[in-house]
Amino acid sequence: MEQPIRAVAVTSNRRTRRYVTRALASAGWDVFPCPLERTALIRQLDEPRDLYVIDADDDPDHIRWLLKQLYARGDKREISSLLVSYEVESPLLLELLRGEGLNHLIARHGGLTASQELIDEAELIVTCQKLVRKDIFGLDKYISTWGVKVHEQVLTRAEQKHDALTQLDAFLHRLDCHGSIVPAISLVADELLMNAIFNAPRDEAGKGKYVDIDRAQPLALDDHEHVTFRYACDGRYVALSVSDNFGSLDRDVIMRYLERCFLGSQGVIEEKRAGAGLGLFMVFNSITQLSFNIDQGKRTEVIALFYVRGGARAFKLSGRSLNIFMLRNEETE
Amino acid sequence: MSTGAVPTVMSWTCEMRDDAMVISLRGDLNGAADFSGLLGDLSGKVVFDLADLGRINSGGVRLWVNFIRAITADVDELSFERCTVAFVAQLNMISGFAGNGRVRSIYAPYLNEQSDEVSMLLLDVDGLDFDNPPAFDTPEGRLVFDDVPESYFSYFRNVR
Repeated sequence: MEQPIRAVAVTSNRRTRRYVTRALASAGWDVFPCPLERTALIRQLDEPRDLYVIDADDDPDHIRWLLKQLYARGDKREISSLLVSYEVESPLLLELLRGEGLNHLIARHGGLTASQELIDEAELIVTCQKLVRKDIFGLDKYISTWGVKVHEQVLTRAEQKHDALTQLDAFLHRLDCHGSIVPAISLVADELLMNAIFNAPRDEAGKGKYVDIDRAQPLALDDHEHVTFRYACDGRYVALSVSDNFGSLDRDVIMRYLERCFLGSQGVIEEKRAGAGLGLFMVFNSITQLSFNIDQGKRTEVIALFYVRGGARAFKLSGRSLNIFMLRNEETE
Repeated sequence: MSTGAVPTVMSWTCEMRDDAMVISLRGDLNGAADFSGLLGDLSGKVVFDLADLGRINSGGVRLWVNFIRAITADVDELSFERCTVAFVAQLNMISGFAGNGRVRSIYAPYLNEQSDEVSMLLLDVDGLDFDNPPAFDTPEGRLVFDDVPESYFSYFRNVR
């Protein structure tokens, strides 16, 4: 019989603890509630545990201490820990995410409608399962309702991006998606496709192959440079994914680009040439959930979700999540 | 607001209105947008009519901000009207997106509480209460602002 996965729900907030416990217990996991208090945490740290779900709105000093302990006890490659927070724009979240090993955040605005409280249980289950099982790829993990059609287009030429976006717009129109949300979805698709087409491909020396080319000109991609674009909707979320075969996005680069998002700052146009920085900044400001799935040197899949059950107001109040799932080479070879 | 298909290539028309040159942009603001045809021709009062602006991406944002920076010295008075939702999103997100120009009117999402239809209403920025945007009673139903004021009007809250 398979050993249940053991998760610690670290929070002093009864409501948050109930959410986390209910979600993970429903996935068949053993959940150990624990207040963010050193004596109780030390008892948990002495036990075999697979994942820590940490309430980031609790005492910052205790969170820092816990993450330090987890990293010290980990295998220096991946610590299974996840932050949940009511705050989206928070210097503390940025500081914690910059730290070693922590790549996962589910953040929600406070004061939401009953349908969008702190944690989306489905998101929490998917995120935790991906973290523990290291099975990170696939749009279907987020849009798993039976009967939902996943649309797919493989781009072999850069100029097919426009057609792909036009088809996405038509799909959103067929969904009767609120017109005020459509520009955000379209923007994110555009940016992720541009990133996969122009920034991801590497030459033999590992340099960006198409970073400096004129993006208005036609470009035929080599076979291994083809980009896969998928999208679907389960009625609550529109989800889209863009995959390339390079795995060239780096965690530190992502965090550097997203820094301004966590500080609530505006983007500044400084760079003379194109790159992923401004685009990723714009992407993170336009999504509900964003997941980077990276098999280093082999594959990148970026998944974006948009809450579409209501209008722009519900979309913006649905919060933002960021996950960076990294598989390093030694784990996949 | 135009709901028809917007061509992907940026184009524009120019006309004089009173003492201002009105430039109506049409198409996507992306990395292929080429404003070189406008550089050097702009002076005095300039108004950008943005109702037919299509998609905006980071390549277009970069070109646009550099274009606005380039014309700032030649233009006495710069303003923007009929800004789309996508343009407003960039105003909020990107520093210097409007340069030292003045945004006069914007489209904003409004929900008809009876029919659940969302439409884009044109709002004059002057006199607009950014904390409590107006609701409108129409024969078809009551139209209420369907976004988060702190977010949708963040640019205007910061510049006022």
